[in-house]
Amino acid sequence: MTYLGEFEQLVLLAILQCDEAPGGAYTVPIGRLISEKTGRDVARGALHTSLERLEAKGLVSSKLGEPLAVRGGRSRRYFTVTREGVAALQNARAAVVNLSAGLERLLDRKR
Amino acid sequence: MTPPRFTSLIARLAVRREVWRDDVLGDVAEEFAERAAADGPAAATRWYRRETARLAGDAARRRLRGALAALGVLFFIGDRPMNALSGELRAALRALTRRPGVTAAILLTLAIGLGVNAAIFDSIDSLMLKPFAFKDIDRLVMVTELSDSDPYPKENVSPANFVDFTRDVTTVTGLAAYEWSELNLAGGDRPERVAGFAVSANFFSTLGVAPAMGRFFTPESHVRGGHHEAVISDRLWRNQFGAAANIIGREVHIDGEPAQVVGVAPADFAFPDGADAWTPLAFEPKEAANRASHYLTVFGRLTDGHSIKDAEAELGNMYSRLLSEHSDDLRGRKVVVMSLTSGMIDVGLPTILMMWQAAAAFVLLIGCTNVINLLLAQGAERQRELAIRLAIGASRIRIVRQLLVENLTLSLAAVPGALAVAWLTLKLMTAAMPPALIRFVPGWDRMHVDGPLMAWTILGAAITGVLFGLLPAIHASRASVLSAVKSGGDGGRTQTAGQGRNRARRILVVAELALALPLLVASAMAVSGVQKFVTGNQGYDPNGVLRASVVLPEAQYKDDAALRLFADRLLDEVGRIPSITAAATGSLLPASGSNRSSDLEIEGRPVDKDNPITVNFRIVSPQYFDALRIPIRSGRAFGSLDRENGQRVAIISESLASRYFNGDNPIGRRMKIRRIESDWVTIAGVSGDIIDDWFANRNVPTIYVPEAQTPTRSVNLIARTAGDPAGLEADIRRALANVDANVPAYQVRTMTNALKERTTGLRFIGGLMAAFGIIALVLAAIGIYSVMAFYVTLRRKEMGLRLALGATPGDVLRMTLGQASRLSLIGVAIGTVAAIALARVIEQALLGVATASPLLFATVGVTLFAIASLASFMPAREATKVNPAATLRD
Repeated sequence: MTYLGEFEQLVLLAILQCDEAPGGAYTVPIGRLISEKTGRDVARGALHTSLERLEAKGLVSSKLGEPLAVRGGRSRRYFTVTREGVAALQNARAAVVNLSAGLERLLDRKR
Repeated sequence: MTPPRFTSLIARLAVRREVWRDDVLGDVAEEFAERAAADGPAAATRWYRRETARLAGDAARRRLRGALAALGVLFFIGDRPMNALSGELRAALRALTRRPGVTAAILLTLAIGLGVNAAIFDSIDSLMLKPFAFKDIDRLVMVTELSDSDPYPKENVSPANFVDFTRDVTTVTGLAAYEWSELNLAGGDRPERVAGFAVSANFFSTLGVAPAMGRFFTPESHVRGGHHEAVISDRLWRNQFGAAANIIGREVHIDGEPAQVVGVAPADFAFPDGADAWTPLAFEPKEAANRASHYLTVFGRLTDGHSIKDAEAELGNMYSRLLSEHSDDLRGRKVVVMSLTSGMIDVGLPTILMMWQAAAAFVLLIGCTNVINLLLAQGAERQRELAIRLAIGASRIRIVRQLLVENLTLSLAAVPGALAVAWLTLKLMTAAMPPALIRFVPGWDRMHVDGPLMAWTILGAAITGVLFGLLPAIHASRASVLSAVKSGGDGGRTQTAGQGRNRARRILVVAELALALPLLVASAMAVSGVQKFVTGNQGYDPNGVLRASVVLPEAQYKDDAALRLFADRLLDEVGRIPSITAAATGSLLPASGSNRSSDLEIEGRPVDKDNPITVNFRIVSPQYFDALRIPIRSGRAFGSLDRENGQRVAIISESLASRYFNGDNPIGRRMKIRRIESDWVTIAGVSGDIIDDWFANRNVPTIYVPEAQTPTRSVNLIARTAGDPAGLEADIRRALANVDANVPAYQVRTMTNALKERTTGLRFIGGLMAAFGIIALVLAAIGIYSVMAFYVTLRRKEMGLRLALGATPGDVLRMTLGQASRLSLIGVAIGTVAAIALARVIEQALLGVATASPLLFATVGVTLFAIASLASFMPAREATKVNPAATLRD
């Protein structure tokens, strides 16, 4: 059972979201999406460190694309969430859902 | 569109250690291109710069955290230092602003303690470590020939040795020498006696100074016949020559001989010893071969790649050769090479500065004791809060950390105040220092609040914060939930809550006194010592005496007859002034700051070449002893018959008589005085001893010879009057002018003023020590008061109970005071033991001016105890006013 930090959950969810989108899930749209949806400023170092750690835990995998001139000859790194990653997200979500049961009136009240 | 090159280089540097470096660099490059397309290149560049700054900032923070982690500090601060710390910082600020009174008291105490320390630190830095601003000062060295009997680095090299060193040395370049030579300078607004130095060819170039106007000396200047050229200081140029633009080439008279001003030194240049004029040093052939007289100060610049050790080794080799050839002249000496800075330091200054620093440290320690006490008091009130936090799972380390952050915040918040105190202290110190003394202490003008001082203050504050914060923090973290909660919300105002803290508080009272006492002893020693030298018995009576000095130039006063005539005429003129009761001349007066000595040979006593009898040597006119009221113990004073053709006579001081005549009657015995290469001189009388100079010349064996038998160029007049001696000045100047209007009179002042000026340094040392003592006393008194006040508050309930059960207010007062007294006594006892142990060090630091007597210890101890009792009396009286009914209801 892997424990997921809050920021890690956000990163995993953002990867899944971007995977669906046309550009694919690499670091620029991942960071941007988290910023947009949570309103918090994402430090590049933190994002990359988190991705590094998730990969080490086997929750995401990555592969490099073609080198791009616009990136100064560097490649994009595309991320996908592994099966374990999805399972971890499910667990985390289940925990939140279970603990929130019966609190709908309070938690859903005007956001 | 590519990112700006320089900024991207910085970005690359910032993340070069990270595994994800290429991903991030690619990201920012890509985003930059996007932004450039959307918002234009200028906006994109601005964004890129911001992004790079963030990357660099993050990287720096990670690096710092890495370093802290490496130090094992991470354990203490937590794994997200910035977030955790900022939380604690906020909590700390909240806690501190909740109790503004206590916080203000702590800040004030810390500001005083830290500020005083910073000021002393700065004076050590300015006066001792870097008093001069010469280029590459750390390559400048002083070359000396030290011996046990002549351990002072200045004025220590003989001319012949200087010539040899200069010729052969390779590890040092630009070897230069100077010789002290005060001179009469005429040609400016009025004739003046100025601080002059004869300097060798390399003097200015080795120091790396360039003339502000004109030039320095040329090789021709140093051809014998000297004094034809002079360089003057900026100060002299302004004061004596009205900053005349055409000063270069101006004809002046130096010691009566014409000379030309060839240059003006830069404004801040007064090396050495506040020099006002420099003349070329030039040796006669005979003098250039002189190895026996050691009077030159020699310095040079180390050649590249050589160290002080190398220079000392090379010159040492040279010297051992010289020693074998000239063993009589150089016996017991050896070459020592040291940095110019350490060689130029006034003897005794380092010890004095260290004593000040130690005193300042004591002040800080006492201050810290007060702060600890205030924090303990606060800790007690926060007991409940902490206990509950512990109970619901806060780790002890977290609480200690919280309190430490609080204390660090507190101590760092004291830094601005400390800087203000330091600034004020330095201002007062410089203001208290008269110009006459500043001249001899290079670096005074460089004492101010600067970078190093600020850095020191911050460092000092941090260390202090940890030191004083640790004890209360650990104490507070031991909070027992049970007792804290049981005490029902008033923060532990019962005995059970604070046994440990009570013990800590008792220790604090003891510590306050134990720390204050040695400092007070040192202060009292300094003050009483100074008092003794300024107003105590000098061996002569300085009151009612005016003194004035002239030096007769060789050009006009060529022989003994001329000198004798001047002295006779001067005394004759002065004798006509009605209000003068006695007048005399002497070659060197007490409290003049200099000295002349001579070796003696006593008839019938074997001559020991290694340990010659060296005594102070004075040439005086007959009424000298009368005018200064130096008692004649036996034999007679000089009289009008002791003239050039009479029997050669001398008067010796008591200390000379007792040291070298073993209780025999010295009257009628004979001596030879080396300084004047005299034949046998008969002792006619024995005089009392005097204090010539507090610094190094007290009750020193002295020999006096009559002026008529040994005429001198240094004529110092003393005139005694029944009235105010200061009123004599005009008459004396007129009398001097009547005899010779062309010799400048200098140091025309009352003897008491001369004495006062000579003891300025000493009074300054004493004054500062007294200030430290007073601060320490006040801090200690406040500390004891607050400890006792808090103690009484804590025990209100108990006092109330006692009163309710029939104790009288007197009983309660006695009990409280008794406890305070016991603690005070322990503190005084420990302090006394420490002070006795330190007394020798203090005596030494005070140059033997003061001695620690049992009376002094007793006085200080009793005073301190009395003040401690007074400080605890007020809270103790409060204790008697407790309303039993009210406390029991609570």
